[in-house]
Amino acid sequence: MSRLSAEEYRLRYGATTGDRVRLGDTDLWIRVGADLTARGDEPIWGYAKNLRSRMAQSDSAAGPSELDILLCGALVVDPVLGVVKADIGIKDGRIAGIGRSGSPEISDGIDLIVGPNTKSYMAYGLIATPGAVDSHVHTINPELLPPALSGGVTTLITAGFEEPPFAMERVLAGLEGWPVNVGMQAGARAMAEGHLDGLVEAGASGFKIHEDNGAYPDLIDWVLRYADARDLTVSLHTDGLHESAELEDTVAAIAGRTVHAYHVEGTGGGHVPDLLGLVREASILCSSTTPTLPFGVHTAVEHVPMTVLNHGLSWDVPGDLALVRERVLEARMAAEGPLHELGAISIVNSDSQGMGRIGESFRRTFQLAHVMKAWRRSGAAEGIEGLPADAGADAVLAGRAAADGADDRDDTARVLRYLAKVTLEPSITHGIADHVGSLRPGRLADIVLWKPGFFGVKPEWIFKGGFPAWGPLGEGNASLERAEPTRYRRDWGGMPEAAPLCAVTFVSSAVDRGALARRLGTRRALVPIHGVRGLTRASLHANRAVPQVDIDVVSGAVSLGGRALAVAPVSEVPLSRRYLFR
Amino acid sequence: MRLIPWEEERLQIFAAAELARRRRAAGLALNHPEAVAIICNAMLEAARAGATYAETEAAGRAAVAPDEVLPGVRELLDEVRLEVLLGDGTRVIALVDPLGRGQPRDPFGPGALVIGDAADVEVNEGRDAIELTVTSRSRRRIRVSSHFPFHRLNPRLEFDREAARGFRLDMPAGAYVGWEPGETKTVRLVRVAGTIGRDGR
Repeated sequence: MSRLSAEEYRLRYGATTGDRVRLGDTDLWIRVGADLTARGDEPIWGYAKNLRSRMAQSDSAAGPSELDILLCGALVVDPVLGVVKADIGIKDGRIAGIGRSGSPEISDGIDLIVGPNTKSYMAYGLIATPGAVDSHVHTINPELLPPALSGGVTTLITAGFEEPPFAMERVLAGLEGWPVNVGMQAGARAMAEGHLDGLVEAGASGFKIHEDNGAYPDLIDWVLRYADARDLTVSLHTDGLHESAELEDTVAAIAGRTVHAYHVEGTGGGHVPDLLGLVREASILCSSTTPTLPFGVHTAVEHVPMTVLNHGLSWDVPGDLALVRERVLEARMAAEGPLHELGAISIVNSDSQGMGRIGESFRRTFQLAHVMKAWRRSGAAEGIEGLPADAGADAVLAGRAAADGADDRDDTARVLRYLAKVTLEPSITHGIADHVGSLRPGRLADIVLWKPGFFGVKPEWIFKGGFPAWGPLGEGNASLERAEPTRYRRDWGGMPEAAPLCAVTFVSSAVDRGALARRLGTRRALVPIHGVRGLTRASLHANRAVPQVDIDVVSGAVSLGGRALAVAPVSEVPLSRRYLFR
Repeated sequence: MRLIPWEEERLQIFAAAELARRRRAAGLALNHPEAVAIICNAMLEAARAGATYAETEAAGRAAVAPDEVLPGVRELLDEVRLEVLLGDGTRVIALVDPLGRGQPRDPFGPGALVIGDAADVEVNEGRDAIELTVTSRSRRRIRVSSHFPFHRLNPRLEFDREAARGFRLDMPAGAYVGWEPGETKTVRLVRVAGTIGRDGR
C-alpha cells in the first residue's frame, strides 16, 4: 500500500467521490457520487506511464470485443448516470460502457478492456456530458454549424421552413460532411395526403406546424392523425393572431395527442397572451428558446427588432409594429424561468436563425439554472406548489459560505435537471433517446469534454460518434497541440469525408431507408425514430410537471395556486463576459 | 507578402491583442481571451526584437498585471502555449499560471475543485507485498515506472527475479523510482491483481 495526499491524488487523477466541482463561474456545484476507476491501476498514457503492453493494456484483448476508443478518468455528468468519475469505452462509434478500464490480467473488476488497437485519450480533470440536442433549428444558412459545434451541440432537429423535398435534398447534401446528427421536421402546410407522403419520402422524421404557414385547428387534427398512424413527431407554433383558433381551440384540436409545443413563453410566436396555458396539458411537451432565457433586463427590447425581421414584417408598414408589441410581453418572460424550475417547460432549444442562437443552448440553460437557484434562495418561491426539492446546505462548502457569504449547496440534482433540458428530454420527445441525449451504453458516443472552469461556454473537445470532431485546435505548424491562436475548428472526425462515419440522419420508420439512402447518395446511417406517439410529460426524465396555472388573458401574467410565477430580470449572467471576446 | 497560414495566425493574435489593449487603456478589466491575446502578442514582439527565450518568457509574464483582469480570469488562465520566432528559429514556450505571481489561487474560483475527504488516499491496499533489495550494475541511470512487470526489468538490475514474478512497484499509477549507476535500493512491491495476480499467468 502506498499513500498520496488528497491534493496530489486529485492533481494526478482528478476529482473523486465526495468532491465538489464548480461549473464555470456559475454558482452551481456538483458533487461526485461515485468513482468507478481502478484505484491504483488508473490507466495513464505517456512517458513512464502505464498504458502499455503488459501493464494497463491487455495484449490478448485484440479482436471484436476490443474497445476502439477510451476516455480515461472523465467526470461524467449525465442526466441518467448522474455525476460519476469513470472511464468511457467506445466501440463502433457508440458507448460500450461507463466504468473501469484497464487490463484484466493485472486489475480486478475491469469492464472496459484496453487492447493494442484501443486509442486512449486522457480525460482526467475534465467533465464529460452528452452532446446537446437542439430540437428547434431553422437551417437558414450553414453558418450555424460552427457555432453549434463550438457550443456543444451535436444533434439538430430542424423546425420547418426550409424543407420541402427539393430544399430538403439540398440541405441534407450540405449537412452530409458535418459532424452533427440531423432530423428534419418538415413544414406541414396543407391538408393533402400527397404533401405529407412526399415529405416523409424525402427524409422527414416529423412535421412542423407554424402559423406563418397556417396553424388551423383542422390542419392540426389532420397532421396528428397522419403522424399517429406512422410514428412521426409533430411540433407546433400556434395561431398568435387568433384568426382561426384561440388557446382552447388549439388544445381541443390536439385532443390529448402528443405535440411538441415550441417557445411556449410566447415571444417566439403563438397565442397572445396565454400560450403558456399549454403547460396544463400532459400530452403537450413544452420547450422554450434561447433569446428569452434567462429573463434579462434587455430581453423585451431586443425582441422588437428580432420579431420584425424574422417574420416578414416591415418597419414602414402601419400596423406591423403593433402586432409585434402585442406579443413581446414581460409578464410571460418573467414566468418562463419559474416554469422551467417547476419542470413544466421541459426543453431548452435555440430557434436558431429564426429568433434564437444555436451556440447558446448549453450556455443559457446553465445561466438559467444559476438564476433560478438564486430565485429559490431569495425566498421568492417559498410556498409555490410542486417545486422540486432544492438541495440542502453542504458541510464542506459551508466554510466558504461563512468566509465570503457565498453559497454552500450541492446542486447536483439541479444541474442534472437542467442538463436533461438540452439532452435527454428532447431526445425522448423526438424518438431518438436510444441514440443520443445520454452517455448510457448503446448510445452514439457524442461526448462534450469540458474543463470545469469553462463548463457550458467553451468546450475542450467534441467527440462525435466516438472520434474527435471539433475543438479549439491550435496552429497547425506547432510542435504541440493547442498552441495559440486556438480556434474552434474541424478535427479529423469533423472532416467532410469522415463526418458521415461519425454522424447519422434520423428519418421516419415508415420510409424505405435503402431507397432513400440511394436517392440522397448519403454515406450516413439512416436511423429510424420510434416511440414518439402517446408520449406525455410523464414520459420525460426529469421535467415532468403539469401545473394547473392561471393566466391573465390581458397581461399574460401567470400564477399557480394564487401565487405569481415571476422572476425579476437579471442584469448580469455567468458564463458570459469573463469568457467571450466580443 | 506571400503570407503562409502561420503568419496569418500571428496577425489574428495582433488584432485580438490590439483590441484588448485599447479596452485595458479604457479602464476595462480584461477577460480570458483578452488576457491571453496580450500575453501572446508581448512574447511575439519580444522575440521579434531579438529577445532570448528567457526574456521572451519574462515579457509574457509581465504583459498583464493580475489586477488588470476580471476576478476568476487568473484561475481560468492556467497555461499559455505559443510558438515564437527566436534568432535560432521557431521555439515553443509554455507559460504556466502567467497571472499567478506566486499568489495562491482562489480555492472557490471558476471550475474550482473542493476536496470532500481530505484524508490521504491509499492505493494498492490489501495486496500482497514484498520488499526486495535491488542493485544496479548499469553505467546509466535506470527509471522504473509503477506498473512494469518487475521480474522483466533490465538485466543490469540485480535482485531475486523469481520472487518478483507477478509483482510491480507499490506506487501510484504513473509514478516511478530510479537507480543511479551502482546504487542499491530496497523497494516495496505489490502483487498485481487480475488473472496474473490470481493464477500467476
